[in-house]
Amino acid sequence: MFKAKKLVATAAILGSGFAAFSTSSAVQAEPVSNSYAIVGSDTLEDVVNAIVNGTAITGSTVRVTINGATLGSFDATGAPYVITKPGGVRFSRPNGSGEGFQALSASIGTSAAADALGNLFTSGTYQNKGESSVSGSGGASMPASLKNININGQVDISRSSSGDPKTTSRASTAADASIVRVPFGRDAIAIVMHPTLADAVCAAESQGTIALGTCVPYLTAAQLMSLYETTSASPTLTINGTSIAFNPVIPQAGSGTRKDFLGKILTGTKDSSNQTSAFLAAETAGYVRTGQEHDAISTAFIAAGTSAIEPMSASRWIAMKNGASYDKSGSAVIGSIYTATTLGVSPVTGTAPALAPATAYYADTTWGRDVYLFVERARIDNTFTAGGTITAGSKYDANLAALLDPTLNNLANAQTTGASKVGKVKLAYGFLAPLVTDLAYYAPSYASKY
Amino acid sequence: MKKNILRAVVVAVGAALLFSIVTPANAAYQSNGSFGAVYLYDTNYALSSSYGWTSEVVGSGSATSSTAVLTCPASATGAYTFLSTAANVATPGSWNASAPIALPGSKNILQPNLSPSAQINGNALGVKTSGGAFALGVACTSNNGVTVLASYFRSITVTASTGAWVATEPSADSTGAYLPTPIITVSTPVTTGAAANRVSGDVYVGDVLTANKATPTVFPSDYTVTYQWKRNGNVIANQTGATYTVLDADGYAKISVDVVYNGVTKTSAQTGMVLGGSAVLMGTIAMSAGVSAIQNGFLQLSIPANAAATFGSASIVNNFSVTTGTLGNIEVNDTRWSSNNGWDLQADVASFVNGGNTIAKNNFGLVPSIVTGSTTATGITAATGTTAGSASYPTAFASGAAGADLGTTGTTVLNAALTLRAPRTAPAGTYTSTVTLTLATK
Repeated sequence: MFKAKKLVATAAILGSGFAAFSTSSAVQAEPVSNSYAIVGSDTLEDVVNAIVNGTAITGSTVRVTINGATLGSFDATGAPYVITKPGGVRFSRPNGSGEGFQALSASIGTSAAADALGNLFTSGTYQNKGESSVSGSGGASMPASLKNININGQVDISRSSSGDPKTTSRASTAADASIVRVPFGRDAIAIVMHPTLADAVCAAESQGTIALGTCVPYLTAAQLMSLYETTSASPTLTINGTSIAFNPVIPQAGSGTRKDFLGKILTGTKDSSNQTSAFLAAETAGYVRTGQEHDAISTAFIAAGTSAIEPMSASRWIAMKNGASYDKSGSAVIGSIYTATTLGVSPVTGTAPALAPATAYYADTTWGRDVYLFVERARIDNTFTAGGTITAGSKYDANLAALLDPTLNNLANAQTTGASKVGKVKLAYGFLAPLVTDLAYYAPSYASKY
Repeated sequence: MKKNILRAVVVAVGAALLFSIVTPANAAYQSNGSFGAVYLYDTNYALSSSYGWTSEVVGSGSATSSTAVLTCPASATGAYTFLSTAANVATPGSWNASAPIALPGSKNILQPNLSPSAQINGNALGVKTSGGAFALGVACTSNNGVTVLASYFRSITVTASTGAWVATEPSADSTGAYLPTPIITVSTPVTTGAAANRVSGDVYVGDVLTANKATPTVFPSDYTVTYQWKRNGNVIANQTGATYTVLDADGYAKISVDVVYNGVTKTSAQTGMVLGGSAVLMGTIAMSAGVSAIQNGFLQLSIPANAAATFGSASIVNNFSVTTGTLGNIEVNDTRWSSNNGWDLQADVASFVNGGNTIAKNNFGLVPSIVTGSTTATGITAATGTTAGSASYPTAFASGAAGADLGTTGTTVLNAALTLRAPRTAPAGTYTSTVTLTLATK
């Protein structure tokens, strides 16, 4: 069972800090977790929600619970705030893999007075360590009451579609390797286009038409880079002699899909979010619109009109088309990213409501991607001492370890041998088994968090 | 550039089922009351009956396949996995633990999670702590989980503290203990003629009766069901359908039906008497019989000729000379068949004399008895008799009551025990006397 963390007595830090237990009579939009709380990636939210809330998508009711308690998984978007635990604090909703990782970082460890700042979380591109301005997904409209909230103990697991959401990879022996990455499944990054654009690309590629069901438009990484670093308000590509206009859309900052996609198409010097200055210039200028992950009916995508193109996770596409997820695919058409391996084949096979991952595309080492859950290492690894700072096993939680044990039918299960397996639910949501099953280690977003 | 368009094999996902569903061959009540057999499969989908507390367990309706569904009745609107005592299987409010599961429109439950540790509502941990005997399975419910329509469950024994548990093997209910008793309803009542004023519960000739084989209204499907209608418990030939039209021949009889489920017979209660038939219940038969006059007989006393009482030797008792004997059988014949007046028999005794010596008759005791082996008359009473030393005569000997059954011969055989206790002053010797018996009609 979840162990209650110590209350933070120093509530008066930096103006808007709140004590860990809410005293306001908040109307909560969602139920809280009875045990562990999961936040983060949009890509994984539907499949994890299904697994912890109970789903009959495979024909058998599958629900992961632990020690007689249900878990709580919270969407990446929705009400701008979230409360994850009984009597817990209201804080800004972590949107995407990066913010999930940050929220987990803020939640873990004791709040030593010297690093009380490390417990503060604000949704947005930067962690508010004393800074009053916020940008990114929080934006200028973020109310003060949701900034710099001490969320120690409020998040236990973060979902991530990125293998290294905050670029903090460590060797397992590092003293600050206090977050562990557990493989969850395998997804793939694809592209989606407005049907008008798709038909134009397919025509140029002699592929047939959407109407005939023979159109799977493809672009190479190089072509995509030229679109996402464009210096023009109306970028075009010449495909087999035909000039075609595109309006590129990118998921929001903090999105693991965004970070992965940019990391794979951009070749210049990249920052910690895989952004080149050329890309940032294009986004700032509005040549690349900022939309929402896995949403082909977002404002930005619609505004991009008949030439809209955006990366999207193939698993989300499959889940939406199969009716497992709320369908935000609109009329968009799925396309392929061309490599020597994928050869531009469709990332999916079959027809809805029986779409499935195309194993050849998912197996591509660039565009196929393992997806993960992150968790505090000391809670599932009873040998970790953070370089001698903590007693081995003092934070070990056998229930949390069981939840993330791939040999059990819990969150890390990848078996597809029967309808009662969690892995079978993952397959219905477009995820294959992870290619790499080893654990990996990361430092939290903030120092001295263990 | 060449491009291969893959046409991969479609793996059915989404709302469709991912494995072919096996329907069990025979859903039949189990000896523990379960709606049908449930088999347990482990994490590798291997059949097993023993598990740890947190082991992965799913249920199936087949002993050979883990994907055989458990089918809820068509009227079910919800389903739960549950853990309860045997007595509380049908009482959700008293389940030890449970978890809600999805009930598809098909009502087929596939691979329900029967791990006790997954029963998150209630107190599964209490079961682990205490151990004991429980039912573990799936309940098909209606009324938002309040009413249990049918339960598929295994009887398990949990070891206290470890929570390890073992399930008893499934076995079919061969005695019909859980099969419903059929109810006969009048599905098409006659409303004319004699039946015009019928009330609820009446059965009339011409009614169509239906054997409602299920009560409650759901019971396992797949039973072979046959019927046999009966009249007063006797088979009505060729009446083996689910309905029966009451015949005139059933008038005043009671109808019942045997429903045979998979060879186990359940008998309905009988209806009330069938009304409205043409059969008659009462009439008269004239009788005229002559009676002959009986010749009245007579009353007589039969004493054998030269009858003599027999005595034993005298003996000294309490310094008295006591001599005992028996009178000998005498007969009273009463053949007054028609008047049957009754009679009284009296005995008188003379003094005992030996030459000049006399023993007074009060020293002679006489106790009459009825010789039952030879007596056919009833209503005969032997008198108490007299005691030697204080006897007085004449004394009543026996009587026959007026109106008593004279038997077939009217004969009463009597005897008496005799006692002579001579006064101490009486000289020794042989003394003689006579008993005089007098018979008179009442």
